[in-house]
Amino acid sequence: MDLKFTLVGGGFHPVDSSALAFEIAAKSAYRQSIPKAGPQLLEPIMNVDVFTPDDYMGDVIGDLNRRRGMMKSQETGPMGARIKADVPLSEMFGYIGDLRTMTSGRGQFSMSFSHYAPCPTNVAEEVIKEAKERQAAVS
Amino acid sequence: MKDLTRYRNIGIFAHVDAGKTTTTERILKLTGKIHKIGEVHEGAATTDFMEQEQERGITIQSAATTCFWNDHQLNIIDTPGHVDFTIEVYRSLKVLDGGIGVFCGSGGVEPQSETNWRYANDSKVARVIYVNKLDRTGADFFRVVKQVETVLAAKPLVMVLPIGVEEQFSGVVDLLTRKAWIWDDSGDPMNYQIKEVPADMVDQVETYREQLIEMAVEQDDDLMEKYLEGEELEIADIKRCIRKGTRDMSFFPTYCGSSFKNKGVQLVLDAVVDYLPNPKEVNPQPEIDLEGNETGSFAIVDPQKPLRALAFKIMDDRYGALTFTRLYSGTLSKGDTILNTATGKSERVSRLVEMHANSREEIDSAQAGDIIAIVGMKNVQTGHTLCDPKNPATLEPMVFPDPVISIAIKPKTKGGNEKMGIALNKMVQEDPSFHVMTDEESGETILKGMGELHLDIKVDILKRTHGVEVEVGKPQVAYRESITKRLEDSYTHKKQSGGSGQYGKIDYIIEPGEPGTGFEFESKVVGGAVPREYWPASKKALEPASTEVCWQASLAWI
Repeated sequence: MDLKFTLVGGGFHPVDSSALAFEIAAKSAYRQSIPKAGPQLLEPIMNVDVFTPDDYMGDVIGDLNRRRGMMKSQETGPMGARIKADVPLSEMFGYIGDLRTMTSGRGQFSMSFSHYAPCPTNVAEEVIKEAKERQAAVS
Repeated sequence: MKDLTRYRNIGIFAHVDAGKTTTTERILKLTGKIHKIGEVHEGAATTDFMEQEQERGITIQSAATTCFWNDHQLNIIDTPGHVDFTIEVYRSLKVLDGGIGVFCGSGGVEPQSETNWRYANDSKVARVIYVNKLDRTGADFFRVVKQVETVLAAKPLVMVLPIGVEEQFSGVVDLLTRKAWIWDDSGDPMNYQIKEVPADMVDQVETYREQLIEMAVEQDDDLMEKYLEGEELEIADIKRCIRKGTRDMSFFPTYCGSSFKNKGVQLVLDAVVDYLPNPKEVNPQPEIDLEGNETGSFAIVDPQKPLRALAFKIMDDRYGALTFTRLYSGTLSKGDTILNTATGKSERVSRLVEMHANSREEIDSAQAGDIIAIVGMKNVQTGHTLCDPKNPATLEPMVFPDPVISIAIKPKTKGGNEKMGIALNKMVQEDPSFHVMTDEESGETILKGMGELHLDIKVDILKRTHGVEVEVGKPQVAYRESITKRLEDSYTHKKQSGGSGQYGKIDYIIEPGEPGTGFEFESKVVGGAVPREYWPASKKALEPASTEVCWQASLAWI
């Protein structure tokens, strides 16, 4: 995460101060301040490059939109269409199976990591809820 | 002393199913390394020797193989084509001097070929193009050539023309010599005849030959002049031009054939020898100091210079750890002591082997330009530089992308925990894109990697190679956090109720950093309000928090 922490001042006690005390202070300061500094959840966004025969292009694009994809380009060639989009990784699980179902097994895709971007609020809430549940289940 | 100009370190890379592994098999057959050709779909290919690879019909690990063609030594690295293993492609590219880009004659330039091509451009690796599978229905050599131009924005230099397509594909015409190579259907690549160009192709051959020469002579002004004056040029001169242009990546000599039907592969091998650079012709690797700054000196490919080698792959098999190493300069012999600049430790080299896919040959020494494996290295990881202890240097470190997907696993049996730990430890050393961590809150073991398939295969390796059965959780995305506002704040930690107390007060500013800078810590304290010796403690406390721990902490506030 891209964050800058600048120490500007403070105080110490000649006897009671120690490295440990400042370590704890820093940790607690972090917990205290982050909630006030407008925290934001970021998710990995992938460069997705899909190839599909023309007949299925509408379905493939519709599906990418449902996966919160941002279309970047589309080109048609003799073999079919190439669609490039930015799609959050969390929406791409099992994509190859769905793509094959949509295109009668003829679609192909590749993806690589592009960047991190802020999650929309509803998605962030969902993620945090799930994480909380996971923690509750453990403890 | 071996002649370095007769070395070619090459890789073969392309999209899944374009036929890399089949092509490698044919090359090995032609160069006499194996006698019976293994078919990928039967799970018997020589370079695919892991069980997982044989079952899935894909290549996971790049196997290094040495063979000989026309008195030249070819070190071939068979790279995986699947996107989840991009790290392997990257790593292999790093140690190569040239490559063969394989494209499927009917599929053309598929999405993944584009990614791999871009990586090869980044690493400045000269390539020849081989359009495979021309025997397949729907194959069209010229369409693929066009795609190379439009999709990859590269200049293909057509060197051969196919004779017939699909079922009728029988051979190729070599444009430079104007000879037709015709193979029969016996499946033996040596059963070919050299004939005159078929009558119906003469015009086409002349047109393409002209194009070829025009592009080639652009590399040499004198030849260009001769050519424009209408003189017939020597083939050797044209070849020299092609070699130069290939090295500078001005164009990519383009061939075609069908590896599966054993047609056309010889010409690609000839091209590797004729046009791809030898280790001395590529730009030398810059040396850097421990802070990551370039020192300005380079690892010159010369056996007389001090040793510089890069470990690019660690493999663990039943014989012990194998460290695949590319020697950039100097000579490495059995019994030498080498320094690992990343760890600062020295190690003795007890055995050196040359790899031939699944078998190996013991050698006594290796020299600059070689790709070999060292047996039994203990403290070496991928990307480490091995060098002469008297004359240390570090080569450019390799940079790897962060993993984006994670899954939680736990052993099925109670006793499996320790076994799993040892196995995972080994696997992390083999693959730097694979991370393992323990979730402090839940105690679960988390595997992180580049994609679903990547982790899938890791779980498979755990089960088969190491005999650890695990239960696998749902894949999780690696989320991160950031803040959007700048904040000035203060915190006092105080615990002074009897005994030795604790006291620390800090005033600070917390703000969003520039994208990509990660976590930054700075102290502007003056006048000793917080004594200097406590700064590192505060910094240390925040570092892990900015990546993993904070994510846990954030649960509390929303």
